[in-house]
Amino acid sequence: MACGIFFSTPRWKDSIAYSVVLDGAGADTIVAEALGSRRFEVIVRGPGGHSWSDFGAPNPIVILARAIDTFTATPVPATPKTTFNIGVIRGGTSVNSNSGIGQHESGYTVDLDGGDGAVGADAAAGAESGSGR
Amino acid sequence: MERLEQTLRLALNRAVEDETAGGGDAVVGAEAAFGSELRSGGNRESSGGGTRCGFADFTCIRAVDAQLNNAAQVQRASTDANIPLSLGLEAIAIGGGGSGGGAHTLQEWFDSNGRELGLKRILLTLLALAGAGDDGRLSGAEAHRPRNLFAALKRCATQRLNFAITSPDAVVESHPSTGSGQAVSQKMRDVGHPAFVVAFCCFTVLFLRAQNAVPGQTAVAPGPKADVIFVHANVYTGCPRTRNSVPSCAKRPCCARGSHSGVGRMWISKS
Repeated sequence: MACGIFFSTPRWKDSIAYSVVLDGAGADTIVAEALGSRRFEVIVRGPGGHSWSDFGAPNPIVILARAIDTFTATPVPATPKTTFNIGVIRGGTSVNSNSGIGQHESGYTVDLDGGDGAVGADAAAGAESGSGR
Repeated sequence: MERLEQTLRLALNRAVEDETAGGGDAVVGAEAAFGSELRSGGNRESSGGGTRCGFADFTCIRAVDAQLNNAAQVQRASTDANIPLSLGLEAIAIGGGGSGGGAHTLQEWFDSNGRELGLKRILLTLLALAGAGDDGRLSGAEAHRPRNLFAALKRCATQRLNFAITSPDAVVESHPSTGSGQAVSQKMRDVGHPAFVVAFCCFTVLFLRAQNAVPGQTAVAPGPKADVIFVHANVYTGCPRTRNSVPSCAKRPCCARGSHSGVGRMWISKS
């Protein structure tokens, strides 16, 4: 991001007197304090396998779902306002593959204290009752 | 925040253990190929303290709002001003005018009606920060003084500035970046390009700064750093609604720099 480049270059950083950031619409706000956030990407890798013949092998998608379920049950303080968000979820190969196959990764990003926008996390679920290869 | 991060690690570890513990024969040899990882990246630092009410740019925007009879709330938010603020540098983030809603949803919209107020606000703030209209001895520290503001406003043919700065409103927490996404709604009017106005603001600032650096003038007030105002614009460019390509309407950060040697540069780049 251009902003980061400017402030990491001594030539610029040391000579900038003021910064005026234009963000979004409206004329009714002044942001004069920065809200901090921590972002994480969680990656789970597994051995993968076929849904029928390798049934029972650990499945990264299941693990991530469990981790999300556990994590999002965490109570957060109202003061100071603290939030978290699961923003992106991805992974998987096909409906009859254990998602950990090969080097494929399942991951989701967590934005702690980052904002209250609802970033859609669309998860497509596929289920198959076994029918050999 | 640290506690939340720890909770995240624990949740991940527990989920991994639960899944790998009860698999029986089916997971023989599986654990070797198994792994989980928590990567951190893209963090945004906080300003770590209270609202920077004493900053010149904050004082300027309050004065401009008073002049425009504009009631604005002081907020804490995650914006592109995070970087300078976290470095202890003077920064504010304000809107580009108009109105918007549905932030960070697929239905996000922007309406350019009434954006004149926002654009006036930007222009006056930049002029005031640049110390426009002062007697040629500008410095960042002096730029926010009423006299300088008054002169700045005279130069751009506006009325006298009422410098009645009230105490800052209570800081509220919200996410004000309506309009920061990529979606363009049906409400988008077929309008001109506010980006040009922003560009005009930037060049005006550069011009005034260059003009004020009178060669041979010896008693130049020692300003703090003085010669660069960083403008990071992140606004809609008002594309015609007949245009189908949303990416063409995407935000375009622009940065401006002026120097006492009269050299001004400006970049407008795709984000």
